[in-house]
Amino acid sequence: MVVLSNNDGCIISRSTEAKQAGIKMGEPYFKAKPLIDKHKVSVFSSNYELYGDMSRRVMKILKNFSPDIEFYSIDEAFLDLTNIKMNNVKEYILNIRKIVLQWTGIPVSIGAANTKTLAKIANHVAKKNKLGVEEFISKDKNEVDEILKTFPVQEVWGIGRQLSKFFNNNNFHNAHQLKYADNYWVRKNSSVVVLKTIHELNGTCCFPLNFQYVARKNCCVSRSFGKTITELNDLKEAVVMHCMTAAERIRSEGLIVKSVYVFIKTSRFKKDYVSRVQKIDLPIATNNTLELTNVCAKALENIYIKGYFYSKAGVIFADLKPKDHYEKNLFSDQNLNLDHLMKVIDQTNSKFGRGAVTVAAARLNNNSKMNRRYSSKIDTSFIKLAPTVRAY
Amino acid sequence: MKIPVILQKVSAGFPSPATDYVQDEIDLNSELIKNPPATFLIRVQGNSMNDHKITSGDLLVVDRSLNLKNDCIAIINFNNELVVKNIIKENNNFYIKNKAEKILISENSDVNIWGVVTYIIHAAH
Repeated sequence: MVVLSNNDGCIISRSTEAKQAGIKMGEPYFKAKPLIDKHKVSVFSSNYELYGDMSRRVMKILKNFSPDIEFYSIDEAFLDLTNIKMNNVKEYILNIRKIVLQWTGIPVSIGAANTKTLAKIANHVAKKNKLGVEEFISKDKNEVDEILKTFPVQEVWGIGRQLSKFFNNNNFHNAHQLKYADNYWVRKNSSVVVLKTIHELNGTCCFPLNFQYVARKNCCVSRSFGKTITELNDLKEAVVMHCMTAAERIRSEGLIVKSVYVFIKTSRFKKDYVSRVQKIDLPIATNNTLELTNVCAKALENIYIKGYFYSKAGVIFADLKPKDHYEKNLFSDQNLNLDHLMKVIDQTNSKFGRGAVTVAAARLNNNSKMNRRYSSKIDTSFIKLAPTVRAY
Repeated sequence: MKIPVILQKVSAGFPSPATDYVQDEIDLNSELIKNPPATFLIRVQGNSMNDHKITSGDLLVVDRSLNLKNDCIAIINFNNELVVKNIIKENNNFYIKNKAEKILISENSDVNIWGVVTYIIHAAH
C-alpha cells in the first residue's frame, strides 16, 4: 500500500510490502505507476482530516499517562515521566502502547530514556522489536553503549545530512563514537547544538520538554491545480481562496501577519518551467481577509505572465505574531471594527462549510480544487464520512 | 449540539410563566460518549441486525475501550472487514451468535473485536 501527497502528487508513505517492491519515498506517482500496477499495490490519497483526528485521539490518551507532554508533531510526542509513580518503566510504557492500540487501533512505538536524544534512539530500537517499546532507564551503561554502537550517526536526532557527512569524514560512524567524542574538538569544529546532543547521549538533559504551545512563525496555503490554468482570473480565484483559508487559520490561532508572499508556478516536469513570487510588506500587521485578499490579488497581477500553463499557486503568510502585540497607530481603530466582521465570517463558514461566506473574487471553481482520486472517503471526525460496518 | 433543558413538564394548555427556568443544557456528546478518544461513530449498511433494533443507515456509537460482555452488540473485525454482531459468552469465551453456528472471537485470529456498541442512533422518519 502507498499513500499519495496532496493532489495525488508524490508517494509520501509506503507499507513494508510497497518498500520491498522497490517503490521509492517521495517519488512522483506517475513515475511509480508501472511498479504499482505490476505489484498490484493499493493506492490512497492522503486524508489529512482522518490523520488529524487520529493524532488528536492518540495525544489525548497519552496525556492521561503524563500531563507533562510535548506535542512534537502530528505523530510524535514527548512525555515527562519524572513525576509519575510507577514500579517498572517497561511495564508502564507497554501499558501505554496497549491502551493506545486498543482505543485507537494505532500501533505506536515508545522509547524511554533520560534525555530526548536517547529516547529517540530507544524509539528507533522499539520500532524494530516485537514489543514496540524499548527503555534505557533500567539498563546499565554497557548495555546502552552496545546499542549505541549499532546506531548510525546520521540517525541521531539533530544530526542532519550535512553534519553526518562531516562526522563520517572524521571517522565518526555510530552514536557510541559520537557519545565519547572530545567535547573541545566538537565545540571548535562544530556547534553548541551538537555539543548538547553529545551531552544528551551521555544522559544529561540539554533539550528540556517544551510544554508550551509554540505559535507558528508562518502559514502557507497552496495547492496544485487539477488542470493547468492560464487565465489571470482563474489564478486570482485560487489565490484569493488560499488567502482566505490562511487568514482564517491565523485568526483561529490569534495571530496577525506582517509579510505576505504570493507565488505561481508551472510544472517542474514540463519544459518552460517558470516560478514567480512576490513579497508584500504590509504597513500594519493584520488578519483581515478583505485587506489580505486585496493585497494578494495585486501581487498576483504583478507576477502573472500570460501564455504559461500554471500548475500551482499559493500564499505564504510570514512574520506572524500574536494579536496582542497589535501596533496601535492612526488606522488601528478602523481595523478593530472589522474584527467583528471576521468573527462572523469564521463562525458562518464553520457552520455551513468553508466558502459559505467568501469575497467575490473567490467563486468556488473546480479547477483549483484538490485531486483526491483514491480517497478512502473516511473521516472519523465528520459524520457524513463516518466509516461503515456491514450488516448483511 | 446543545439543547436547553426546561424544568417544566409539557402541558397542552395554558403556558406556564415558569418557562424561564432554564437550568442547564443537554450535551449529547457527553451523554453518549464516555470516552471520547476511544469512541467512533460508524454507519450501518444492511439489515441483518434488525432483530436487535439496528437498521441500515443507523449510526452506531462504538467505544473501543470497553470489554465484551454477554449478549452485547459489537463491531467485529471479520477477516479484515468490519461487521456488527450480537456477542454471547460461554465458558469464558466470546462467540458471534449466528443462527446456524457459533464463531469464536479471539485476539490472535482473523475474527477479533474492534469495539463495543454503546448506543444506536436511529432516525425516526
